Amino acid sequence: MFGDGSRRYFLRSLLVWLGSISSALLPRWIVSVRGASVADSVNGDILQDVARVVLPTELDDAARMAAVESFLRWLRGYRAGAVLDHGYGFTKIHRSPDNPAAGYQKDLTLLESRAETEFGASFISLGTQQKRVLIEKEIENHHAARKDLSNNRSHLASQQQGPLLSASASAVPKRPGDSHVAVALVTHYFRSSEANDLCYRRQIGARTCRDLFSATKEPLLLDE
Amino acid sequence: MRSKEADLCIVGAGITGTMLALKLAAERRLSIIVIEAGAKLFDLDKRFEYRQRYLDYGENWWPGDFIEDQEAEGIISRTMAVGGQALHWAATSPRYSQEDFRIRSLYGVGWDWPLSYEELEPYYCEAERRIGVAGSQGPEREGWDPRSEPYPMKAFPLDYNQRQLRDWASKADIEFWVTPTARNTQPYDGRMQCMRCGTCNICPTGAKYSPDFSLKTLIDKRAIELVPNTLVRRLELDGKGHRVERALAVDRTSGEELEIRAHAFALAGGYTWTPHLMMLSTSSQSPNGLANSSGLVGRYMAGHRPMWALIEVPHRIYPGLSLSSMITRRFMKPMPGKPYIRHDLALFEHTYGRQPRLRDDSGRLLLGDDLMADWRQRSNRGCARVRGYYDVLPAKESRIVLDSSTRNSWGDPLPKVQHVEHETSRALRDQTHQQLRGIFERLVKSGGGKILETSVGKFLDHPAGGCRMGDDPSESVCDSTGRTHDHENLWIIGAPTCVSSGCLNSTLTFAALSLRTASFLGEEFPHNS
Repeated sequence: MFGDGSRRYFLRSLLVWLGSISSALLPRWIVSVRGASVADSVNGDILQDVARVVLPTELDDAARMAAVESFLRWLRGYRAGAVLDHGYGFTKIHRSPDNPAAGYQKDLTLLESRAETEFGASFISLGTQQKRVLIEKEIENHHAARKDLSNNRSHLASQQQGPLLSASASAVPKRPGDSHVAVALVTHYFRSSEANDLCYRRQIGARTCRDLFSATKEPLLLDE
Repeated sequence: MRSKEADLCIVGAGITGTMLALKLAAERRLSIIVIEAGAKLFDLDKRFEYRQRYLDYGENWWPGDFIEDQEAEGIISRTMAVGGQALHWAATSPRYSQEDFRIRSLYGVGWDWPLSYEELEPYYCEAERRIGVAGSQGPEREGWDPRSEPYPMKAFPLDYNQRQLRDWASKADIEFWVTPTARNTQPYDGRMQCMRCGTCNICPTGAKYSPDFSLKTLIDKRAIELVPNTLVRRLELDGKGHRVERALAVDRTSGEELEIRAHAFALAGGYTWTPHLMMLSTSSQSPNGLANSSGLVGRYMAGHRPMWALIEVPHRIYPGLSLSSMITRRFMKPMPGKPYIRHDLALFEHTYGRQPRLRDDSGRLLLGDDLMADWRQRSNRGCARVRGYYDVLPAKESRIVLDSSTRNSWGDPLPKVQHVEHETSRALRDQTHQQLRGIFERLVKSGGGKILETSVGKFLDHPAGGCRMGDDPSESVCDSTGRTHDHENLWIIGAPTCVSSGCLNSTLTFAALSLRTASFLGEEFPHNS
């Protein structure tokens, strides 16, 4: 009934549609299974192309592909509705929102259609500069669409946290969320131990378990 | 209704209840029931997974460590589980200073405690041994850090970042040393050496002390009976109103009611839930709640306020290297001829302004190489956080109230914590901030750098009080041993008994107070042969 391409398109559309149903309306086991399925719907090929633009070019092909794979693994492991860290002195319980994978796939689909509209070619076939222009434009559009919401959040947060917020407002978020998929990929990579090591060009291993006494010396250079 | 009976019923399985049980089980012959509203989370084998889920997704470090319908208002941790808040503490373990116990006598403000530092000192040593504290003796100057025994473990070695920061601060003649912590620098008490995993809130290796380790040992030895998931809702008095006769509880999982009868009752629910339970326990003999003839249950809620500066330092430091802070105690005594202003000072590495960012100062979007280049450029110089906790004296109106508009599943009103500072502290607030600001400026002037931000906490940290101790029953709830003035077999353990909160992290003091209570409470039971 369907060709291979149509079948893939149909299945991906189905998964995206499934992903759009709020977790609150579904039983827990479906939320869990759906999380993994929706994550699988994200187009890894286009994501690799996005990675060429938004991750440092210092990363070789293997390192960049590993970063994308790590991001996809993160998506597959995402649990909507999980209780989040409640922190010291805070009495409210917060839960993780719906799996962002459906939104990410929409972002990737939009990049494809914009490439067709603006350049008359598929996203993958564009040059790096053209890809960069498209990605930046889509990030800004995404940002503008959420500006009202984030303004409200910032206002609330500034009341709670004071001046610390001003520096953190432009910081890469601690974890991927409902941002554009390109920002989510940036977030996932730049908040990693590997990126921290690359920034300082030292073997710091901020998120790893390490020998207690090794920290007494300046961390070794990356190639030592 | 099910019924249980024991010599001692401890309500609350946090660090103070655990210390009490540990000492009594070791030294006395008695049966002990430890009753805890929250769940039992003896899952060391899962902590690497929990840690990873937190790092990757921000999920709760300790799944299941809270009770959904026990949502109070105020500066209250949600953690309610076997192990209490000391499951996720950072294990920072300084002692209060000598002055904390005598501020009325020395400086004419606040209240003296009914016990001295010297009386508590042996119990500080014992607490450090029992939980395993790694530390180093501070400088032997002006009694900054008096102690009768060395720490049971050598201190954490100064890491590279800390050496840079210590040397920077020393130019202002401020001497810092490593803050004592309950994390192992060597294998200790069956737990391994710290591996610098950087997630002390959930230590995946067990190198950080948490009470679940001690409780598991006590259970394995059959020295205690632990009853988790069981919420004590009321304590009832005997006919004369002198003694507590029984605790009435509910099994949260089955809804079944339970009574516990005991020779003695020890309330170890911390600064919120202990006064809360006492206030719920009204009767014709105690219309204002248990042990409340003074009217002071739930009052004089204390804490200390943090003020900090984020300072760019002229050194390259590496975020993610340091696990702990450094501390100085030189400001724990008011400066000669100056008003009552006391605080500690701690020094940390910080990432402020050194995090990767998505936009530069002009608002331009940063991606890929641009983002990395911007990050590198801002990382050439490090950032330090210099934080002072200053003593805030509580007003009598600083209190816990029962909030009848918010009730748990069993219909009990939940507590609301409302901190109010004493007029003495209020009057000194600006001068205190000025003194701290002066120290921040002095650090920069001597060592170089730039103050990026200065902030004052909008809350009182490490809260305590609510059942303060004292010699005068009209001005206090319990005596210096924790025994309530009104009921001879009712004891208050740890945090609620504190008269003030000093200027330092308080958990070790709560543990020491608990061990001291155990010495006196234990006299009612025969020695262990």
